[in-house]
Amino acid sequence: MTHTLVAIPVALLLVIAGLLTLTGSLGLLRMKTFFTRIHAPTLGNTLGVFCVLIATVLLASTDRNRLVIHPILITLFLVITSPVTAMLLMRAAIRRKAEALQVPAEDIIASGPSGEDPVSYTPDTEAALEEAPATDPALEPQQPPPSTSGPNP
Amino acid sequence: MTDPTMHVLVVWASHFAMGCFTIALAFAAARLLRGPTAADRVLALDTMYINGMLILLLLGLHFSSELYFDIALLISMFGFVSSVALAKFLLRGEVIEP
Repeated sequence: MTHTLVAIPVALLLVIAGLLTLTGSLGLLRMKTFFTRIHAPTLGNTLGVFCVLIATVLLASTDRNRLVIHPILITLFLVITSPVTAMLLMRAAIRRKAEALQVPAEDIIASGPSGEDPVSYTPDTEAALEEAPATDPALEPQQPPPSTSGPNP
Repeated sequence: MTDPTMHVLVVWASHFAMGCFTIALAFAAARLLRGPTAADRVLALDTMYINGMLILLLLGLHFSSELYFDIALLISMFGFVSSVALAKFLLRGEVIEP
């Protein structure tokens, strides 16, 4: 019978791992844009794996009365590889979006992680923006400034 | 069958975690089917292999078996390689460049 002093932390770690992984995948499902979606699983799942492996090490070590350390291998491997995958995917997404919208990649990066496709980035408005300085601002009809305060006393 | 020497707390916690991982796998599969861009689908696949690996690790803890650990290590390695290959393909249009 596993001792209660070991069973409590193991059970706690397993529950935390389950909740973290569920949060990560829920973020993957519910977030709005790809650049916000990529944050949830890369962080949540790595921490979930970490918790499960710590629980495995604890349980196996107490069952066999010696230190069983090899499950840490998976954690090490995942901690190294998960950011690599995330960075490559982010680069690919930025590059593909920039190619689809015909803008430099810096504009995609500058629009931020939650930047929906801004209106000014479509090719038509891009062409319109290039023609805009040709018009003389003096010829524009003067708009009266909007009244900021209500009726004056 | 479940290891009879296991504490009841650990058994119930592993059942709870198994449910969480399964729901997380279903969420990732939904994103894989829905995903508007190709990068979304690759990210969902990446999440799915990690969730499957977690389920295998939990089974190994549940049944006190060493076999599941090796399978989980293999899945994590192949999953990483396939994710990087897909991401590289999306980035350049080629996996191995001349």
